[in-house]
Amino acid sequence: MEENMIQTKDLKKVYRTEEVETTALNNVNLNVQEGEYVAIMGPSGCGKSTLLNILGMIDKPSAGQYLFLGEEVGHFSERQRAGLRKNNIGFVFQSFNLIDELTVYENVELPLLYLGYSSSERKKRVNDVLEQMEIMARKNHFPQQLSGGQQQRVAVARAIVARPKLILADEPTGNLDSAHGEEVMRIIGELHGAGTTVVMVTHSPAYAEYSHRVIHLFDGHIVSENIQEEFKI
Amino acid sequence: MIVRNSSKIAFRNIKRHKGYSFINVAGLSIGIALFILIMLFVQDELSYDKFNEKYDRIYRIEQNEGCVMPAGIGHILEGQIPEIQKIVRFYPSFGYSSLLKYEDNFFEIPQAVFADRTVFDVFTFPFILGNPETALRDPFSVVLTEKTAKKIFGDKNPVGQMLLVDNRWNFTVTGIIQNIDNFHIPIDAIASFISLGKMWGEESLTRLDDGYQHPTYFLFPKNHDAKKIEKKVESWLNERHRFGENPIFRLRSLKDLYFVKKKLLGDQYQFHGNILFIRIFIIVAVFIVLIACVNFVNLTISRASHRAKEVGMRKVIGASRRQLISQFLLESVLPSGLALIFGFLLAELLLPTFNRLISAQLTASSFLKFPYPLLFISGIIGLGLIAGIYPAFYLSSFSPQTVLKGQLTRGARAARLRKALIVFQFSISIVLIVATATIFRQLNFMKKADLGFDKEYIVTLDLNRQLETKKEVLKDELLKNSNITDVAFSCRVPGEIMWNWTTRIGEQTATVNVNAVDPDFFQTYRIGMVEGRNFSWEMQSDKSNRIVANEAAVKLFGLDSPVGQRVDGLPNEPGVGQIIGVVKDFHFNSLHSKINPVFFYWLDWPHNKVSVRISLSKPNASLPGIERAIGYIKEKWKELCPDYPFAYSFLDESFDKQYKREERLSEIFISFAALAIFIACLGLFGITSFMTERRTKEIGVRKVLGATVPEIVFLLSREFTKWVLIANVIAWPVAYLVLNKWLQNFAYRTPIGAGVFILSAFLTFVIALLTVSYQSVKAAVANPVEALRYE
Repeated sequence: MEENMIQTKDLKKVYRTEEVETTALNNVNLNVQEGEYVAIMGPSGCGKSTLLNILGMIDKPSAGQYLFLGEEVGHFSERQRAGLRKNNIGFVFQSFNLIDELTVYENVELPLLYLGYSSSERKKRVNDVLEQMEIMARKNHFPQQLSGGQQQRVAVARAIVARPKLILADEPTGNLDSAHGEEVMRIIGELHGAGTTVVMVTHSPAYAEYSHRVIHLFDGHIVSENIQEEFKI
Repeated sequence: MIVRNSSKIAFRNIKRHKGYSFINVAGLSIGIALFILIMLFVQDELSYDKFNEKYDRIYRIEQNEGCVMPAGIGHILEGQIPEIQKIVRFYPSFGYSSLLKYEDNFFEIPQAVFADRTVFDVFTFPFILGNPETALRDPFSVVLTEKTAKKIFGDKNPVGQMLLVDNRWNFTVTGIIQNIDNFHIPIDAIASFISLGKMWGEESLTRLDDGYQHPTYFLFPKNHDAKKIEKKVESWLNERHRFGENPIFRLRSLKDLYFVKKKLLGDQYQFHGNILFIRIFIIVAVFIVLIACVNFVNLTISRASHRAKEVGMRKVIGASRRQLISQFLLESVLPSGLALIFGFLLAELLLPTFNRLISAQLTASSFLKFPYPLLFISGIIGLGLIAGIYPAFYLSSFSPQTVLKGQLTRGARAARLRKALIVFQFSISIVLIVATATIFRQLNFMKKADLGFDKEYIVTLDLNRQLETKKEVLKDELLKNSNITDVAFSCRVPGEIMWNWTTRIGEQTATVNVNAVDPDFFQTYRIGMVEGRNFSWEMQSDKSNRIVANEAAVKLFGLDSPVGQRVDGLPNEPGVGQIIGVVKDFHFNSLHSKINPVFFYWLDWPHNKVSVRISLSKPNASLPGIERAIGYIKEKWKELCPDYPFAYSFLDESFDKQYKREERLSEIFISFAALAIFIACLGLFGITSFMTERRTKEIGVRKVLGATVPEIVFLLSREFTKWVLIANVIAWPVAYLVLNKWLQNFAYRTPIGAGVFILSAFLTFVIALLTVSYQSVKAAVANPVEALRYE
């Protein structure tokens, strides 16, 4: 059997404000194996993004366990989590989240900088990935000078430049028209085909079909899991 | 690599947000410029006397309240105490006037001193021409500073040239020394001390009782116990001579001379630093830089929401918090580096103005000497860190999942800090405003105060040797002019320092001021008698042993019927006198000090001053009338003493020179306060624009619902006025305490009225409101649709 990359046990996340307590995740048990492609669906506010944030270690669970590559990471310090993140995980967001002050090239280069790659290695990798994303011609542009689709291609380039084991995508097509959406889905599918594990949050049943498995969340609970017989590539 | 990436971001941020960068860099630049100027001044002050290589081995001998000695002290101590390796005596002036004649031209050399030949062994005055061993060996030799030599001889070699002093003594130039800057005794030329023996008789070099005029210095060995030597000197001197009542001798290190706190008798011809001034300056400089740093902190925090996404994304990619903190610190070092460069240029630009303000000759070049460049660089880094440390921690604390969702709006903690910092800025500005207003009030109070005599329309002349012999002729001639009503001779005129003398009435001994005057003195100054009578020209027996006391002297001795009292221990011959009258108290000196007890006596010498009252009656009390009178005085002067150039001064002006320090202080404080407010307002302007921007939607909604423009402006300005009010409340007690302490320097002072506080509140409100209103009016008159379209 393949290794579990992600394993959660009774994962819980509670948000507290002064008056209200909101349970965003309630006893979520989820396993994702290496090389799997999982889509998470559900209505607004059901806890999809919260789950993705916890899986990406940019948020901490209130209770329960989270094992990443077999290791309990719930109690890790911010520094340890940052270390795990930069070595293993790439993020793609609905709103791209490119840094406006940096050019396309510099945005993509950033993860490699934090990983301490040499300058020649960075150059090579960034150029390769820009080539792969067909955005090379725009490498000296600033994000505002690009279309939404181009921006998302840059964001994907940034997510994969360090060759992470896991890609977390939070509605990657949410801000794109259908043509650009299809294109991004195709790229993610290719990455998966090359062996990368993908967890993606989406609203769109059509895009969910690209995955092995669709998990439906409602009100903080996993309500159903469908294994896709055939999935699109 | 991360460093290069961060600096790139920093540069792009500066370029993109020009207004914001301007506020940051401009504020810091001004603060730094001011800081550099003040530090130049402080450095200059602290450098006094330090150029002397034997700095820590030189001591001045002082007796009781005075720092000048009779010449004999230096004479009798010679070779008596082994620890005293060298002795130097100074005498501060060439005589009546400091005018020298070379060929046919007069030159005014104000700071020509006499000194023993040992002066070059003790103090470090490097020679350019001549031999330090022999330069002051012979009588009538003189060594000039480079500046003085240039003034008199131009490019000619002055060594061997003759200078005529006082139309009588020929001095030979024996050497040229480098200019003497930052020495507590101002020196333009040094003549040999033994010349005084030839000029005034040899006994003047060995006198022990009389002539307390000589600052006297000792050189000790490297390792010495000053306290022990002090005791030794004191007992040695007291065994050999009786130096008045209870003589106490003290040795004061050269290190302490410049900043000596207490006024000493005889030190009025020396330079003094005021350590309190220096402390105030440093504190104000640091505060102004802090105000600028506050802008930096505040604007960065305000812009936090603009940077939040970037922080979140960097964290997601794997940046550690430490890396982010370094990045933001680096970003704040960059503008502070820019500010430092601009600050230095600005300081260079402002230096002439600043020099004029503090009457100094500072040069920026001293700031380029080691170790200042090093300090500069650490300054850039230090300032960047101070300004950047809070924003760095604040920004790097954002949690990625909140900011990436766009939920971060405003941290309550940061908002509170921002408000507190604005209050802090305004508090400092308010303290400076109150200080400026109070200094002005006190200055005005002193200048307008009733001095007890009439200082207007009095012209004073210095009496020289030639005029001295024709005093009566001068007086008669001057009084012939209808514009001149009174002429009087005296040793000192108001505004000058009188000599102290210890006298006795009955059993009681006390120190009083003494002044030699002629019978016309009180009338000339319009000073009234309280009791008894004035000196009378008809009674020559009034001369020398009759005394007119002031009320303060009567009070000091507790005399019920002063007229007729016998006074012992007077400076006249035979040392005894009798009080014949009492004059009303008047302020001989500034309002810094209480009115001193004074004994006036009538002597024909030593008269140094002529006071001439110009008539006030019409049509003369006009500018042309005064000019005509002065023209007449000049004419007579030329007739009577053609060898001396004519010079005069107005008494009211020379009297007010005593307030020069306060005038300077007030001018400096006005600049400080203005700059502090300017920088604070820059910050307020920046903050307002961000806060208004954040409330754009609210403003739009309110306008849609029917709010009027004034209502919106009021809404947006309300918060700021609240801060300014709080700042006032904090600043007032601080200002009150500080200024109350400062006012203790004055025997006569104006109360710190409520007026200055109301003024400061009014000023800060108006300034803050003007600053804020630009933004709020702009926001309020904008079309509401534009505001709502943002969403």
